[in-house]
Formats: sequence, C-alpha cells, structure tokens
Amino acid sequence: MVGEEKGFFDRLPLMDKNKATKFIIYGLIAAVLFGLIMMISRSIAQNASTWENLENQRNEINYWNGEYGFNDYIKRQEEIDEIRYWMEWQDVIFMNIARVGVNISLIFILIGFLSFAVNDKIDEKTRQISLIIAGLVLFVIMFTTFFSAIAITVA
Amino acid sequence: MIILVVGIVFLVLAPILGFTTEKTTVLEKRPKTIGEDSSAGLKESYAFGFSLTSGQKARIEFSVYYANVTATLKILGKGYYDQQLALNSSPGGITGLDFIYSQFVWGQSPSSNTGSTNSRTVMYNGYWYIEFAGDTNGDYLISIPGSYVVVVYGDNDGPPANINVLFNIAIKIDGPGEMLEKIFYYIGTGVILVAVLFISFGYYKKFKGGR
Repeated sequence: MVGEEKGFFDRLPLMDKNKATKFIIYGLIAAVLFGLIMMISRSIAQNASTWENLENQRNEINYWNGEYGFNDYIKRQEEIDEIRYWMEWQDVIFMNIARVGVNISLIFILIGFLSFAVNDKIDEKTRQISLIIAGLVLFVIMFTTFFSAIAITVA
Repeated sequence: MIILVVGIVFLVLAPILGFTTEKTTVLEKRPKTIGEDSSAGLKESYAFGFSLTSGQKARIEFSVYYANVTATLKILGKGYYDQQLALNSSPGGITGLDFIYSQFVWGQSPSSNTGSTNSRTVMYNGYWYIEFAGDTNGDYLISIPGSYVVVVYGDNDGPPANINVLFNIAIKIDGPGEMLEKIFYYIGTGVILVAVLFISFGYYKKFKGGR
C-alpha cells in the first residue's frame, strides 16, 4: 500500500545491498569497540595487584618522607584496597556490558549477511558464502549467549 | 561537545582541588616562646584551641632545637582545660588525652615506630609527628568530635637568667579536599554521561532521518 510505514522487521528481507553493507560495517565497528572495552577492562582487573604493590610502596615512601603519619598511612592503605577491589569488580560490569554490545553488533552483522543471502540481484556464489557466514555468526551468537564458559583470552 | 569538555575539566580539577585543600593549616610552624613558670600554672602555659568534626584529624608537628629547653605537649578537652585554667593547676599534674606519635624510620614498618601516649616531652632537640582525633585504641585513632586545646609547658635548665622556653609547633586539620574531590568526580562523570547521551541521541536522529 502506498505511504504505509513498514516496521523494522518488515524491511529486513528487502534490504538493498548498500544498506546490508552498512549493517555489516556498523556491526563490525561496534563489535571491535566493545571487544576493545572487554580487553581493557580485563587487563585492568588482571593487573590490579601490580598496581596495588606500586601504591603500597609509594604509601610507605610517603610515610618515611614524613608527608603523613601512621593513621594517614593506614587510611591510604584502606583506600588502595578499595580501589583494587573496584579494579577487579569493574571487570564484571564492563564485561557484561561489552558481552551484550558484542552480541547486538553480531546481530547487525548477521542481518547484513542474511540480506546478502536473500538478495536475488547478487550472484549465486556470493549469496551462498553470505549464508554460510550468517550461519557462523549465528552459531557464535548462540554459543556466547547460552554458554558463559566461552571467553576471550588476551595473552 | 562543550558539555563533554566541561565534564573532562571537572574530572581533571577533582584530584588537583582534592590535593590542594586536603589539609588546612590552623597554626603556622613558627618558634613560640613561653616562660619557665609555665610549668607551675596553666595560665602561663602555651595554649591553642581547635575544633574537630566527626572523622576529622589534627596533625601536630612538635619540635625543640634550643639549648637547655625541655618542652612537653598535652592535648586537653576544652571544658577540662577551662576548669583547670580557672584553678591555674600545674600542667604536669593534668592527664591529657591520648594521641598517636610517630618517628619516620626509613625501611622499617610504620607500625614499629608509632605509639600512643597522653603527653610528649622533647629535651634540647627532637621532633614528633602527632596525630589526634579525640582518643585512641592501640595505635589507631578514635574520632570524637569536639573542641580541644593543645597545651605546651616547659623548663630551661640553663643559667638562672635564661628563663625562656622556645619550641616549634604547627597544627593542620583535615580540609574539605576529600569531599570536594568526590563532588567534582560525580559532577564530571554526570556531565560526561549527559553529553554522551545527547551525542548518541543526535546520531540516532540523524540515522533515522537519513533512512
């Protein structure tokens, strides 16, 4: 019907090549950004104890220099502990946000490749490859959504 | 974008402001002079009053570097001080409140050179870093808000003509630094969040309009 507003899902199979490419590119950029957040967050958490050692040493040196007394030294020690626990806890928060973000980005990529696969203006070979990639992406989404044991390890 | 910059400015200013206003000097470090008769009665002793709120600490640097001078520092509650002052009691007989004293020995555990006491005496030369919040438990402070008076009295062991008791004292109390730092961090984070929401909303509108 002329002038009828179509919903998001109604448009999906009819997505043209340009729009599908945009979906894949935006999805990839978002996935990379969320992946980056994941890695930074994990790195901060894993190195929290190294930071704690450094700050404890600084705290002792400041005390020995007479910059503050014993109770300020103890107070700083408690603050260092609190920050260290935050450095470890932020990993849980940001990893979950990033996990959701990566999955949403993968859905965008999936839609992009599916659109290629169902587009009859594209050659058969490309459509077949697009369908395989879409299947793989879907497989990854399913696994990362339902199995928490899958994790990215940064060496 | 301007909002984002404002947020970043707040975040940058937070630690700077916190550091600069962390401690408030209520008494500058300068040599003070009292007479030998300060040992006989509180009226001739040196006294400096200050107030502490909940969680606030006072840091007192007390030192003597003068020949023949022995000086003793005590901290009294304001009410008790006023009572004893009216009686002009001998400060040596008055029991002060407990405080923590430290000496900074390099390479050794801070707890091994810290103690709790109710008076500290320096003879001829010496330096003590004192922390006070109302009371102590072991080497740890207990915060008891209120008004307090630092009292110093002493003797000069030199020739009879030398009656001056010279000592150095500086008092610093916790400033508003910690609170200001927290407020600036909260405002900065809040402003950046608002800016990010605005920018995201702008992109969303652009994306929707361009379809």
